[in-house]
Amino acid sequence: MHPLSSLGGRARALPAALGMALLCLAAGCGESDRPPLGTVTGTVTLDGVPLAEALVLFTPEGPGRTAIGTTDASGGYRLAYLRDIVGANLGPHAVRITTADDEAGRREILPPRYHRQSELVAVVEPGDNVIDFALQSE
Amino acid sequence: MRAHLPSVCCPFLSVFTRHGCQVHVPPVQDRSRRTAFTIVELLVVIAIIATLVGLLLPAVQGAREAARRTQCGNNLRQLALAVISYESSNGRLPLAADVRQELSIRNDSSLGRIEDKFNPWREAAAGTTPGRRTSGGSWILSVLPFMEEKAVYNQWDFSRNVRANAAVAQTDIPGLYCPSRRSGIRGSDDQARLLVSSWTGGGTDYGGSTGRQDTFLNSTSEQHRFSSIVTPVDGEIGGVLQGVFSMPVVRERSLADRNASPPPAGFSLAACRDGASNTLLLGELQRLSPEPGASGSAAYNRKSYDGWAVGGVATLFSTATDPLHRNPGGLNNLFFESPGSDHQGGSFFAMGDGSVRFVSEFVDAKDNRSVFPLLGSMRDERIASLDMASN
Repeated sequence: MHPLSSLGGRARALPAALGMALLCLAAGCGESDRPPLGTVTGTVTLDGVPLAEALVLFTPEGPGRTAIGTTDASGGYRLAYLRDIVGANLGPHAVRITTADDEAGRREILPPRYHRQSELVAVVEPGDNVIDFALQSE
Repeated sequence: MRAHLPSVCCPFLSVFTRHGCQVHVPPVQDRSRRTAFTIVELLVVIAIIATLVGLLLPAVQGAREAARRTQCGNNLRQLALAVISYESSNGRLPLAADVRQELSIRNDSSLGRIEDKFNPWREAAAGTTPGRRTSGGSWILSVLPFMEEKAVYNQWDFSRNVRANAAVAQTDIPGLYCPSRRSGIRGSDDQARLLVSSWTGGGTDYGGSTGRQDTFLNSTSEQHRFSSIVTPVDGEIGGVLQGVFSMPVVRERSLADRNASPPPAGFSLAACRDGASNTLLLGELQRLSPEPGASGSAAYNRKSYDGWAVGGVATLFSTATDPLHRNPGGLNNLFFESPGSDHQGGSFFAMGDGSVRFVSEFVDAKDNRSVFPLLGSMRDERIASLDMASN
């Protein structure tokens, strides 16, 4: 085999290697001050029946932001942290669930222990969390 | 392909075999056979060019975005300087909105006595009934002479409302658009947020801070109506939650009284008891569209109003964190009255001293006593600064 016959193969490998290096560089530049988050999904039921159109709020005990989600017709919610970013801060949270929406004319049907004087707590772990709430109207 | 390789890649080898000795003779005879590049040569050249372009393109795009960000910060600084110049000339900041219709007073079961008829958007859009004074103008309109836009200002008819000034209100002012987002009204989606959906210009990406209070009602038809900006808090209207842009305090006064008194004015910057450098003056707006198919609160809490000439939520933002009123707080939060931007990772704000800061969208906004909400209020004597936020 001629010593130079492998040149073509090497020339094709070169851009691929450079491309990989570039990708790594680009990934390194994506560093931001985003705190570690865990995704949170779950189902809210009231007396065993799925609760639709309820607002689910997770407020961290430490600094951070309140993550917010709304239940669908089957009671399912997914917390959103920011525009385009889903999840919630890690660690313990005070949880509030409310159905009141003054301007939309929806009344509060949950007792105050679930919102204004909430006793609900939840811990968000790294990764995916499934946190269900079985609420009682009495 | 392989058969061609030796003669192409190394002509000297051919010379070696033909003459039987190691003399380097220029390959004169070979020139006639090398009229074209082989596919391997072409591939190598294309690969090298592609690599170079691949290396260069992200750098160029990054530089372009960095330039747009710088331009946006500069726009905000110019606008802040215009507001501060206005304050120096007049002793007071411009009012949040120019609203001329009388207030209505009602008693709310939870909030108490509320004077809540300030609705600049409705005044701005109203048909001009003779004898009825309406305006609906914004604070940006007031500061136009201080931002080199005196020509636009001079065309404005202050005896009529925004809609009656349609030709002027549609003027595009380049410094009011964030270049990372847009350079003008982009089509029907942007037009739908303007006062009149057939307008083709006059948007703004910047607004003033009303502080950490729930400033506007969250409802389909009244979203641009001021809510607690006139709600008594701690015995004082606006109270400790107040930001630098305010509405006039008018309590238990007849219309005749008000017409006799001088026109109401905003705060002076000296009223920033928390320090002007620790109080937000201006910021960027999110410019949201409702999600397709969304209804109820999911739809109206995402709808932005736009237009530099129109007072209210089109030109103001609040820093409140008020989750039970569906405002999760902070910036870029998809709530119509909160600030935000199209920049990666945060948004520019101008402070009361005219400095411009980039605030991370991960700034602490847990509740209404967190750093970001506190930055919006000007006289609560709770010291919050961005240097604390970055720790």
